[in-house]
Amino acid sequence: MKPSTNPFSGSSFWSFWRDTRFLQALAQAIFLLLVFIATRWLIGNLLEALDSRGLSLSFAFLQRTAGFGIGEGLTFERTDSFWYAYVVGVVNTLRVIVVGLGLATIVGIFAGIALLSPNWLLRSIVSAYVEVMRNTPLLVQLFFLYFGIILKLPSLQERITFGSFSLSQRGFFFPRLEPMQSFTLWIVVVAASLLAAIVIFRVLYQRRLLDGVETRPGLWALLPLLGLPALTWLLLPEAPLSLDRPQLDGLRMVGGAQLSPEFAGILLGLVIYTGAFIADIVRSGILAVPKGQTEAATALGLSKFEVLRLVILPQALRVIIPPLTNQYLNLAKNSSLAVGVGYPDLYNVSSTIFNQSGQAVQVITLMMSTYLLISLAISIVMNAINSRLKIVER
Amino acid sequence: MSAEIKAHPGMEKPPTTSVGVLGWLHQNLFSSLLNSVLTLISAGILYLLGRGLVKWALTEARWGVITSNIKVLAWGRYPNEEAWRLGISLLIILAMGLLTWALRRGSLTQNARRALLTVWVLSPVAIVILIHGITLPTIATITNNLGYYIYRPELMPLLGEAWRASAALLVLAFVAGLTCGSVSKRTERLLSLAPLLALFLFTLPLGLLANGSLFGFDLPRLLPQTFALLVGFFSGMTVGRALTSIAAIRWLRIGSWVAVLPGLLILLTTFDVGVESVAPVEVLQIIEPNIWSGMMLTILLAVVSIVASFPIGVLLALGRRSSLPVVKGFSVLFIEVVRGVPLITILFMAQVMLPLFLPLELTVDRVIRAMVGMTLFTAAYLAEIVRGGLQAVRNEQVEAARALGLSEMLVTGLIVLPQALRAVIPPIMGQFVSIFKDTTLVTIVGLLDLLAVGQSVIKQREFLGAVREVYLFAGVFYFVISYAMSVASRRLERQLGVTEES
Repeated sequence: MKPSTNPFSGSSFWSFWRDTRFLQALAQAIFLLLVFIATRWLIGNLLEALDSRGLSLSFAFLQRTAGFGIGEGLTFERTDSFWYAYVVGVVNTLRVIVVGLGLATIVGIFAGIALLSPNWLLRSIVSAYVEVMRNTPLLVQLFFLYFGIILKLPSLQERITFGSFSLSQRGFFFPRLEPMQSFTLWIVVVAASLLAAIVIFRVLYQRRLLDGVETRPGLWALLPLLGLPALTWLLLPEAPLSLDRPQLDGLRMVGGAQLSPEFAGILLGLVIYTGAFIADIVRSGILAVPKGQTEAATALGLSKFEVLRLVILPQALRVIIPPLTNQYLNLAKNSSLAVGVGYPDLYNVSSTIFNQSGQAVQVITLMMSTYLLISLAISIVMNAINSRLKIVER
Repeated sequence: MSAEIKAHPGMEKPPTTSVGVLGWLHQNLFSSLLNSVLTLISAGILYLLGRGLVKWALTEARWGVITSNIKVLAWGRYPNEEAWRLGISLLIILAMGLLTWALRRGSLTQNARRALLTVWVLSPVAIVILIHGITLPTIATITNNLGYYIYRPELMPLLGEAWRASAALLVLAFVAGLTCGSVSKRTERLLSLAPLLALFLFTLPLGLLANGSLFGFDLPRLLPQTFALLVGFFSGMTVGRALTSIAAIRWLRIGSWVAVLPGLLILLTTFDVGVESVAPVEVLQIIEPNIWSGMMLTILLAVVSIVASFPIGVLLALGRRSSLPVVKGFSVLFIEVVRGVPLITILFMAQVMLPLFLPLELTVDRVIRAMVGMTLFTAAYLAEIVRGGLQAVRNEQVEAARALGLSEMLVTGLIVLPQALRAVIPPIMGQFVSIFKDTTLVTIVGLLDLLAVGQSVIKQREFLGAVREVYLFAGVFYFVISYAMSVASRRLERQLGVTEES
């Protein structure tokens, strides 16, 4: 026993009440206990409720026959299983997300640049667009777009046509490029010319940087990029792609490609809505780069395009990427509003499966974890991009 | 001005391309070839769109769908003759907002601040009572029911509940005893017995009525009540005597009387006592949540989820920064899962899965379930915003507060949170705008908010297909409120920025 000069050592047994480590452990133990009790209570209720409704927690019901149809995406018969219906829903959701992300980014970039345009009229129109989109609910926009515009388009017989493109309440139709026999060869040729162009550009660009001689890398790179395909065009008798135009056949359209009104509705709605948010992000990203940077780069003799590519964009992107990631995640999550226009996406199919089978717990678990996975995938990709763009600190 | 120009004859007028209307046009619309082309294209698009819109709005649109359904859109199935209650609630909400807005910077006295806070806490209660309605037991209800309990328990449909009478008597007698024991003046002592006496006088006629005569009482049956009365009173007196010296005894007395009255009401009137009982009076007609609809439901959903999510969000943010791994893990899990899934799946879960997790006999209204879902959803987003604010508070602040001897709780409550929350007011307002817009999603899970009522209005035979009119109207409604909120947020942001610099 070590003698202690601490006047409180007499109450050594009780001193642990004053020990933060003990108190923290105690607090956590109490918290855990509360969580445990709550969970037990909830799960007890759940088991009772499931029992009284004759339900179980097994996922085996997914093998049962669905008994409902899905008119979009992968071919699906009423006799297919719930599981396959779910897969069709996931694919439909991914279709909207992937196409939507690309288009929304394009719309957002253009609108964002327009927000900074010196042209007053253009700037006003675009900022009105941004404000209206940001301050009204997406679902109202979707309903207006789908029920108020797309479904009010003329019928298939009286469709609006621009050449082979046509609009009707039954969907949008446009010609499709059909690959011919020589298509594979063309891919190889184009890839090779692209590769050659890149190599030539890189080599000449490096030489310009190192030797200070104007080597015109862009011009030389054009040679294989255009020359190789031109050569192939002369040698081969057949075009790589042929146009497959949609034609009215009785009561439906045959051939070509089409967007169903539902897909067009959710896609356009998401792109227009998210585009407005991205526009604002792009605008503030560009504004975040100090004007001095542009001026310094111009003073160094960089061309306008080089200033944009080498000085402004890398810095603006650093500001843009994190909020852009949020918008991408929002778009992915908002794709669940497809149910509002009747597009059979993940949520829509899941709720139908629930209505048919009554298996709430499993359906919701499956649906939520799929959305979580999608969000996670987007975050991982965007974070990777973000960390590549970060300033390297030494 | 012109005199000044004349004074410098050598000075030339500025070129017409840089001043006046022409100068503005030149600089803003036609400064270069590209700009001129853009101007012409924009003007063309604007003209085509504008002409189409005006033509449609003036000639084709059937605005009758809005004007003849305005009440339906505003409050849906809520009874028209009770709609004044919604108006008053809205006024309360607006008044609270304006009051806070007007007072936020003024130097408030401690008392004024306390009063404002009290009104802030009480106004949601008032609004809930106004919208939902309330039944209040009258004195007749209480005495009647109590009389039955005491004198004729065998007539009660719920005999097993007779303990309530004893419990009520025990509590009442305890408070009377507490008062009696802690006051010094004889008159005050007598006064504290008055409620017991009043109770006796009120219930006696009924007892007489029930038994026919004063002497027909079955004494053993009255034994528990008498016992409760005596025990309550004397224990109260003992406690009261012991506490006489405490400074706060006056507040304790008042507090216990304030607390005992609702307690008695709950004990004695929460169920139908049956025979000859006097039913509680419906002071404001009860309107169940499943009747709430239209714009009123939209606003209510938004206000409830904003108000209720705020404390949860702050707690989650603190939890996420906690040094306790268990608490931190729980917060992180909750926040990340909720933020990773769409709101609609959470609403779906609240509608479908929540009932499974609650006891079979407990049913929660669909509207309340949606409110729970939206609140939890908003809380997760708020938590992330508040966390940003917490990170912005510099560590020196915490260290200085600790050096002053504040406890962890006080450091958080008085030093960290006020600074953190002030820093994140603009994003919080942004979140409120987005939750207001997100209330539309309840349409999908079958609630009757403005959008859903709009959908049903379109199905009326005389307005079949008036889709654009209705959705445009809804869009304008959401736009006006959201835009007002974002403008307010921007002004607030600017003001905060100014105050930070000074």
